[in-house]
Amino acid sequence: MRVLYDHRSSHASQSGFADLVLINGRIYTGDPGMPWCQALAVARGRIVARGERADIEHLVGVETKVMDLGGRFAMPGLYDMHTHPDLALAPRYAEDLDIGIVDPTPDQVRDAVQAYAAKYPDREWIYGQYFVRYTFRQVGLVPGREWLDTVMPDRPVALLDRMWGTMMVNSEALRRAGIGADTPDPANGYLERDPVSGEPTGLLIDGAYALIHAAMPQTPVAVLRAAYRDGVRYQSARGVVATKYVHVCENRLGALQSLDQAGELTLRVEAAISWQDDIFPVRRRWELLAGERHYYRSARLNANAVKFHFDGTVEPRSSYLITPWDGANAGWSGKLNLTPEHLADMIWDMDRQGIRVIAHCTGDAASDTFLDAVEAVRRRPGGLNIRHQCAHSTILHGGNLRRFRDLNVTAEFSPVSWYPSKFVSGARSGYGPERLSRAYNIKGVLEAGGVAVIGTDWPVSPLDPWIALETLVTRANPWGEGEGRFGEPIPLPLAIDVMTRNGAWSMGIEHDAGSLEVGKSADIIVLDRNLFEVEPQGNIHSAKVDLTFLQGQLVHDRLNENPGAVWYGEPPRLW
Amino acid sequence: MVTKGSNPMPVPIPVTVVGGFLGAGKTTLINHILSGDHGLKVAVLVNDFGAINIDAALIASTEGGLYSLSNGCVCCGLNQGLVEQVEALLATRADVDHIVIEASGAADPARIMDTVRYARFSGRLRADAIVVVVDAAGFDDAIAMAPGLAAAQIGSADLLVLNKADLVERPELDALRARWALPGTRIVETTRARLPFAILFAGGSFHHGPASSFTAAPVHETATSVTWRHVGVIDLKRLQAVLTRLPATVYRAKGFLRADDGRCIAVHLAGTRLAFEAVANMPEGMGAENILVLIGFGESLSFETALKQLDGCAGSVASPVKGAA
Repeated sequence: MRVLYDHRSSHASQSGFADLVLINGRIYTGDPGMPWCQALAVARGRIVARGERADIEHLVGVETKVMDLGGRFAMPGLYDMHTHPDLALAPRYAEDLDIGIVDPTPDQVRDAVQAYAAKYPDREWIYGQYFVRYTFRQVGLVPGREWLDTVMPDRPVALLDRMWGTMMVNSEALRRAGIGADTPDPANGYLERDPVSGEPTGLLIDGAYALIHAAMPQTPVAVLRAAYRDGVRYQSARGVVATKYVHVCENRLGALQSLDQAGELTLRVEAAISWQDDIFPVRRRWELLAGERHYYRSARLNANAVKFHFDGTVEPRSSYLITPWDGANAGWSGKLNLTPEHLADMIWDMDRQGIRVIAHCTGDAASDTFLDAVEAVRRRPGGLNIRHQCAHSTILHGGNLRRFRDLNVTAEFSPVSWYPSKFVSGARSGYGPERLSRAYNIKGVLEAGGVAVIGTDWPVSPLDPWIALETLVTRANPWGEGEGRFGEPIPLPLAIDVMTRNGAWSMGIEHDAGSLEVGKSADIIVLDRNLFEVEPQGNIHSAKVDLTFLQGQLVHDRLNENPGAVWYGEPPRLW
Repeated sequence: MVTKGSNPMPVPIPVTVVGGFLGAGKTTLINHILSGDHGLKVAVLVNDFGAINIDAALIASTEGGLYSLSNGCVCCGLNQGLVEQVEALLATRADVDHIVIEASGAADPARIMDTVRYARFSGRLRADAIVVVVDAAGFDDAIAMAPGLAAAQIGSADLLVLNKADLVERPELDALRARWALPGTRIVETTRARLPFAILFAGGSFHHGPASSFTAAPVHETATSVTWRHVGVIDLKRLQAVLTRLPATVYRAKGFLRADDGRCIAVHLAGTRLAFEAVANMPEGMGAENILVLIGFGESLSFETALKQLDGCAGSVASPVKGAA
């Protein structure tokens, strides 16, 4: 394991010289004591000196690598505190059945299923897309298990329809999932049934898919590894030095560990174990939380966090709000997915074990209830005062802004709709004008002394953190596709803090990382432009990251300037 | 009169989803329903409230975005989530006989009907029919614009309305039918979306309407109905086979019967959509008979074959008393 070879114990002999010095830069340190410097020296992954060139000259030995930045702008690397490359990318690598025809006829569906089955004789399940209902109707057939059994009687098959919303499965798939006439419909979907016998016909609608997914094998480690590798490569190329992969299972941790051991985990990852099975099943949840998670631990990877969905989202109006949804005459104000009592006991249990709780809270009543539960934990002696995290924080009640500081809770915001766009005027308008006016109140949390961070939440919004940085400063559309501003902008130095130092705080590593100070980790990025000298709108999000250093190691080199980097060239196109 | 007291089970309200491209005539159909003399309390959820031009004289009252019309209909905009809007409607107006939901032109109406069938609405709503309105004069343009969506909309239709039929010559209409009609698809040609209510609402609800609705008679324009009566029990499997293979000139069937497994069943057929709904008892005054009303439409309409096939659905006891009234 690479990280084991790199470790040096406390009393090992050390060279008095730097391993790396950067000279002739415009280096923004993020440290109010010395915001700017021209030169930095790095030894054993940490910054050992900074200032003008003369201040680091004595650390340059024969083995020291000297890099002349040629006047380029450098700054601390960025922190993306909530994202999901696995969910976005795993389907690309899963090699599921893809029929690849817009309107396949039943015969074409049959041929594709049988060809796939022959090509993958060892795959237990045949899973993929798409069929369309109307081509069945055109030839007088009814899609469902009866038809699919004639295509594939012995191996389980599950096919999605092109408009999604419907999954067709065969009898073997129903049998493995334990679905029969007595199976109740889930709240958010149903099983199509024979009108006489009540037996499922093999068409499952919306939420009923989960019954099949639960019976299918988990996404394999190799597929997840390929997905994370692309995500990590992209993030390093865009200057991200630390991230939280929110929602993992044992297979996902296995994939991340495999990248780590290959030297390809080029950022720090805090992985949050899913508390619920609503996205994918976690088979070893309780073993992981009891201590098995430590087997994955390294300088770059930890799984000391859990994630759960406390309320819903805006579009189906399931965010949990303090006052009812606009126009909802039945007084509907959304709902919680767990009881407040469940939450209180869980946070207490996790806090005592040193595990961070990351709670999805989009509505103001969800964060209100979450903060209440944290407050109760803080009052009990014996807690570890872990910095729990309120994810999304889309709508916050004004009375809660101070509680983030008082309770040591991170307020995390997703940039998906904190600037004007079609998405905001469409889907997000559901909150109504009053609530929208106080949505994404980053400034409010900061002014109340709290810690705000950002999470790209990819694939909900793009994995590129620079869109977030620009729009923190402008709250305007980066591409000019939407008039005006939305919410309260913050100045650039504060926005950089949010995406660097605050991220480090939310990971509990603020004494080790997050700004360019002597003694801290050398997590440095070099850009093609000075952010302080450009018009923010349109120019921050398009900044290119030429070099990324993590713990003094060159992990990304866009222009192929140096030997020994892990990744070279432009970031991969992922969407 | 069938009263609620005689049937303690909650009666699901039938739901029709109206789909079709922008400009096909959905709004005209909605206005036809809102101003129509069908004797039903129909609640209409419209996608774009501004497009519905309700005659101010017809509006009896307005409350919370819900417009009550003097003919008993109510109308409101679909300005929140479908689930919440329907919940709100059920909370305030549980007495409506039928719900009509207008889908946006860009939507697959089947997805809306999927939501109607969620477990949370079980026993409260019944998916009655997806009615897709097509502009006979402009359908080729619609297909060219969004071929997949047009095919999906038509593919999900229990009842296809070829609207603006007056603007198109007969051969073109026939070509359209030949090209797009799927097996079993029921098609009605209309002008100004004047779809016969007998086909849209099956002549009213058994549960809420008067028992006299069993008396078959020409209900509207050329829609015709016939009543099949039978004493004894019914083999549901055989009935299912017959009802799913009716000639396309039979648009609807509805009735009550005793199944051979002892259950009382309400039958609802709308085009290609068949539902057997178990009910606690037969409606009052039906005696020992099973009754099924078939509603047909069109020049080549004949019920003879269908009635003969229905006679073959008798369970263990068979003593058919059939009569085409």
